[in-house]
Amino acid sequence: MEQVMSTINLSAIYPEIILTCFSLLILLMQSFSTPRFKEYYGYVSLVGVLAALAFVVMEPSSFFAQTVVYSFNDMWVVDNYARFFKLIFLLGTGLTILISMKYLEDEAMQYGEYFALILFATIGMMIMASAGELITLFLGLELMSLSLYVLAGYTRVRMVSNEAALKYFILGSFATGFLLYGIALIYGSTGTTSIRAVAASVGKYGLYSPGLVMGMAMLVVAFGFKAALVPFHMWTPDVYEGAPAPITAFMSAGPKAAAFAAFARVFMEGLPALQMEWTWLIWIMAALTMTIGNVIALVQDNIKRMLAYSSIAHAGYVLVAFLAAGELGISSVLYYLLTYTFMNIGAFAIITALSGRGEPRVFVRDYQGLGFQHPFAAVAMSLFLFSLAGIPPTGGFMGKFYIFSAAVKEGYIGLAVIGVVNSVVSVYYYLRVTVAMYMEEPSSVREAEAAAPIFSPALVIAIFISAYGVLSLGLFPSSYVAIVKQSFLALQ
Amino acid sequence: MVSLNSYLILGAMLFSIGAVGVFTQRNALIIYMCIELMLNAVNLTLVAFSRFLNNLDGHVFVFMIMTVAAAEAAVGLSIIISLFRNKPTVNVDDINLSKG
Amino acid sequence: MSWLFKDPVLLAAVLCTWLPFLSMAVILIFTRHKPQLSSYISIGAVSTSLICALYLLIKLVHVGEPVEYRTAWLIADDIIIPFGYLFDPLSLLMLLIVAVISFLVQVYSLGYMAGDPGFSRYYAFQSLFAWAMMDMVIAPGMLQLYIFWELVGLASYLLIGFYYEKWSAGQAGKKAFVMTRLGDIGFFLGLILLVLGFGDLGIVAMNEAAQAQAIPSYLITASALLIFCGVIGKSAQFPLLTWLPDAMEGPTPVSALLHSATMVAAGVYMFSRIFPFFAASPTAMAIALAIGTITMLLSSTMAMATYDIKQVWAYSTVSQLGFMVMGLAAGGYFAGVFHLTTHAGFKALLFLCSGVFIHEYHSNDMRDIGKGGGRSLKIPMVCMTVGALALSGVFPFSGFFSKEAIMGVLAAYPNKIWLLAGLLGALMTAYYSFRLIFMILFPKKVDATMPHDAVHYHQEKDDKIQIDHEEAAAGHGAAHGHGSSHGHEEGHGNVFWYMAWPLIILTTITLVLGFFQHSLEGFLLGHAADAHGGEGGHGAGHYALLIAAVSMGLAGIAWAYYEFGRKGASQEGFLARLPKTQALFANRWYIDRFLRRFLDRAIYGGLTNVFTRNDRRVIDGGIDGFCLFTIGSGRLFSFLQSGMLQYNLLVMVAAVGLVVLYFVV
Repeated sequence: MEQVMSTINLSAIYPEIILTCFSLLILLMQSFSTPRFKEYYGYVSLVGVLAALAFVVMEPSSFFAQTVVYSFNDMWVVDNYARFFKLIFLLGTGLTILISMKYLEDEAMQYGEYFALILFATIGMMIMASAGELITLFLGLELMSLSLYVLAGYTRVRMVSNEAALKYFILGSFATGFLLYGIALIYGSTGTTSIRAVAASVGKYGLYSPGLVMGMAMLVVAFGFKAALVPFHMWTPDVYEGAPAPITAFMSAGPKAAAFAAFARVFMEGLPALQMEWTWLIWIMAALTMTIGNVIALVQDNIKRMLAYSSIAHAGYVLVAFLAAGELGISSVLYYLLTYTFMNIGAFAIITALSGRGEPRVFVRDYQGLGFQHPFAAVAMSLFLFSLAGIPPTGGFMGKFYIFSAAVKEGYIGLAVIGVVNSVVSVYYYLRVTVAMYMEEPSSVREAEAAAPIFSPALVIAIFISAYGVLSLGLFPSSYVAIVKQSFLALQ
Repeated sequence: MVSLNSYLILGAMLFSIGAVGVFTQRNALIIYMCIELMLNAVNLTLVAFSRFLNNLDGHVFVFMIMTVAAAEAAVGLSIIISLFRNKPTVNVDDINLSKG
Repeated sequence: MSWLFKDPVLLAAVLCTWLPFLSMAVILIFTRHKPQLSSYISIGAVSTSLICALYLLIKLVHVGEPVEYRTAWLIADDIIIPFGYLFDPLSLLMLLIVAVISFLVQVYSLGYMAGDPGFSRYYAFQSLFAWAMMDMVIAPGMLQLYIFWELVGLASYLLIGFYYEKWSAGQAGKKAFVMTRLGDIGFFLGLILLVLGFGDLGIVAMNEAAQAQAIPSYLITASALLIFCGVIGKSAQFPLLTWLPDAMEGPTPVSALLHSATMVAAGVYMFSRIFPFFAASPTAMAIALAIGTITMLLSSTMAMATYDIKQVWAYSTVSQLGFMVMGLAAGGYFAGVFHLTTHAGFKALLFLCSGVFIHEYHSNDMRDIGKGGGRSLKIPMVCMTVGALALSGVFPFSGFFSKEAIMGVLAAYPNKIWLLAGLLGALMTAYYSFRLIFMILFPKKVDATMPHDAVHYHQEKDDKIQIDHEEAAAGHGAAHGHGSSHGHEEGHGNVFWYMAWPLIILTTITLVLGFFQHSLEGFLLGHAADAHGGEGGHGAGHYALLIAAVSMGLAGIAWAYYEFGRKGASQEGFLARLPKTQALFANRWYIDRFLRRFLDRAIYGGLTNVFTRNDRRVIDGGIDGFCLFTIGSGRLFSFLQSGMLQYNLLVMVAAVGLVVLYFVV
């Protein structure tokens, strides 16, 4: 593994620079151009995402060259691990932009801020993935969170949306307080904020100082909050329900993955010496997260809320793999997060299309008879739900397969059993939607008010990309596994 | 000279006061002030560490936190305002449309 | 995607195997209501496949080593399950057979299925079949083979039940599905055993390991026997042979393609695919030989008792499949595969010819066709006679050469009883095929009263089919455009020629294929063939054997002529004088009844009861309890999720407290 050391290496942050430029460009377009330009904000941001994607894959040397670039005095790391996460973020962002365009037009809220904020949030996530430093990490996390607070309340005429934003904001800031306090304590105990230096310091002195342990506890709280792990999940359903559907899709994929990216980097790279300390805590949290997420999802009628709980449960599965921190464990985290991005955004794309203006139709009963009215949407939705439930031949199945086999391999058999039982439970509520779509008659109310949901080309493209991703991850996992394994190698 | 521990204990107390305030207060604005108090407790802790470790990182960090806190205030207040337009209240107990 | 275009072989393979899938998807999604377009899409796809298959054969004909493109799927520790493409002489040959017959049958169907309301659906299923079959043929690993094997079964089920408004068609589809599945259970268990014991499902690896005795012999025997269950199901071997005659409920071109030429041959193909693996277990080979022989003899007798022309060919297919299994199990790799090849040609020909008659006279009964003037349809009549000659093993038709090869192998086998069985089979084969030919060619003028008791079963069945067929025809009679009013070649236009051309092509193949025996042998066996001059049958007794086999065939024909062909023949056959035997044959040796009774007594009566009780009480009860508990706790937790901000904060602080407590303690 080659290591390129230099103090300032701008090429290491080209993707972030590009995204920043594009988001500023959109803001400028918003300020200076005529209203008819507003249809193009989405496409401009899409171009930005694609350009950044190209740079992530190519720069500064190729993905497969295994180079690790440190720059800005170790504050910034670009390794394959970071690159892979950036790939996930940009993918999620691109898909979100595709499904947002039609939605904004319907809601008559085509403003440039929306796309600029999405791009800013993405930059924040990318900073989190590349942060070699707790300060950088904090800045990235805040950039992401602040953008998301605004986005959650974006449809500002709707009370639920406001409520979501307020709840998210207050709880999120509260969690930020814990993050900062944790960082402060770690800084105090080790005298540094660089993750590698923290590791060196902990390794050298074998510290069990109460400050360090408390700091670690605070970090668990903060990351647990961002990744929506039980018992720090309380905000998730409310925010997911209230936020505009495309934003819910966005939040469930990227930021969650970003939280895991930072979580893994801090704990695997910075605090591996303390692994014994946190193993059981994570074990309990993983079991709780899977179980509570799935169990509450069973009784939900609002499909957005149901998927919110399901996303909590999925975070639990990822946490299982996280705990089985071997090579297989971390690579299955990456694999699963990639799959999850495809399948969840895919499902939300359909929800976005069907929800209607002001999102009145987000209940399971609104999906009755969909299989006959919109066969394409119903088939795609079933595919994504099957994948979420972990039914072969979808990516969700392979992802779960890798996670649980990693857990078994590392000796967490109890956790694997809990996970499998939970996946069985989860089939119930996913299939409930499929059953509604294919085996139930549409209620008369729906017939009366059903304005045909209109699929824009962009939305259809997003659905196709997601479906392709879900299927190819399920059918041809080996090539993805190869990439994922290389990404893991970079972390060591 | 005041010892490091005194600063740390003060910081921890401020942090706790803030945290308790957050979940006892009903007014969204006051809750937000409590959160600011928590952040400032952290700032105090960081500066103290920085001073006693003879290391400037902590100082730098404090500036970052202050900047972010300012941005957060802007976002938070605008969220509260946009909520207020729909429903003239700042009492968080009145805000529970989504549950279950 | 650039890797795809760098290698023309791979490109051809991908095109060959995936275009039919594409065509199926396009037809099902877009062109369901445009039948003409659907058929063109499907035929276009399959003809491209055909070209690609030819290209592959020509390109790779001199490559000695198998060419393999594979990716290991699902790598878990030390288990290897390859997916991709494997090209060796066998798979190339089979690929070509499938492509050719699929193509011809699809063209033929343009005529046969014209005006059918399910025309698009029919072509979608045909494409599904072509895709599944081709991907099965080129599978480099047993799991891929198994997956597509099942997909082929699905296509078969869909096509048998194509006239789903007909009750018997639905029943037949179900029967075929269930009976083949029974065999597939064994197949799958065999694969699992192999994965656990050996850990590699690659065909090449399996064969090499078996030859090198790297696998313990008990494992080979056990898994080979289990895998052979799959062959029994798919290739309709004893005791699972009765689904195939029932499968004739499907449209005739389907019977030609799936239930004679290709799909049912999949079992035999799989056998030859892992032939070295089987060959490593003498026990498995002996059992296979016995089963093949029993199948061949039983089904030949059944074919002698039926008046339904499709049934005759169905039984004949079963018996010929049994014959192939005999050849393979006796160690004749080339003989078995060669017979598979020639059989695919002439049996498809026979079915397609019958299809023309059925299409014209709306009857499956050979007596009706004879009386209706079947001999006036000259092209199909001639072609069918050629096919029957090939089936009977008469020189110079292709069947002669391949049958000869198998006889040679059997003769080389120490125990001569198998050879005798083979010769007996040849006699019966010639008898029943020419019984059919003569009955159509020389219809009996006087309508003698039939021995009703004996043929009651079939009489009734045939009538039903006939009526249903006519009803179906009446339903879309207008579209058909040609009823039985004009039963002659003249003035049929395109529809007739769509059906005639494939017949002519297949007849040509039947005529010439036999002369390629040696080049095929060289191709399939590689250099080994040159070393010892092919396998079996070239010893001193070769000519005696040759004469014996041919004279058996001729004797059968003569016998049939005596009873059915000559002037004043009773056209009753010797069976009519043996009512008990006739009933036995006509009722398929009561195999169905036995299986039924076995099902009723042992499965439904005993096992099912126990399982049902267990299901209801223990499993359902347990699941119900679990569900109630889960949903109850869901409601509870959901209630706890009050959505109040302060409450959320409180929970979080409490959780923080717990986390801190955890670290402190």
